[in-house]
Amino acid sequence: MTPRERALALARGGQAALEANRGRINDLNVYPVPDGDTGSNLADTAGRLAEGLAEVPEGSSPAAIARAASRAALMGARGNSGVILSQMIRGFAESLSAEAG
Amino acid sequence: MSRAPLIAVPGTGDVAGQLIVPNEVIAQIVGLTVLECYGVVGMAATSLSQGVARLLSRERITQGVAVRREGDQLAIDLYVVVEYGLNLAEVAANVRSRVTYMVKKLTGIPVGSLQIHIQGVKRTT
Repeated sequence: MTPRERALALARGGQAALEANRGRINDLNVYPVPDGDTGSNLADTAGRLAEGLAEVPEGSSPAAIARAASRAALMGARGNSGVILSQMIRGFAESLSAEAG
Repeated sequence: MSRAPLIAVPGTGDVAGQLIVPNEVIAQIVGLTVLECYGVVGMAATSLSQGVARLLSRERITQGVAVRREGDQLAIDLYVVVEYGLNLAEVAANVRSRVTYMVKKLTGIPVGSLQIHIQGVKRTT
């Protein structure tokens, strides 16, 4: 597996897990507003992350893939939970690209 | 912010009377709610000082909120500083839904319009 394929598989796996639990998480939602969209927001944000990674050219460096992941999550963040998820992705991406150089 | 006007919520049920909610109280509710929102660094003064946003201390948060009454609804302007590196549109949308929800829940008065002014961004880490 190339780094890009691995990152994409990771993102799609996460998206699938969130999609599978979308309804359950929606039912849990009480904050910031109990409108039952936390699961949908997380799944949508993860979907945007996967879409962003799919656009990364094959052969890109791990650092470039990490930056693309961070940007895709930032721009694709939906809802309070999505913004928080994007910050977690950014944290992973920053330390990954620092290590990859 | 001026003390007047008071906002009266019509009483319900058998006992006569009204709930009086001053604008300042609504401004406090708004300010405290905004500070709880993810991505908000703090409330900001309504005017920039020499082009730079001024963060308000917790005791002065109402200085970053303007509350007006328009008919049966509230019109609110609020001024914030947001964490650098976040999706500003999404943080603003979250602030909007949380403030609208909390004001209605705590006072019973609907929010008709809510203007969010991002006075600045700040890196806190």
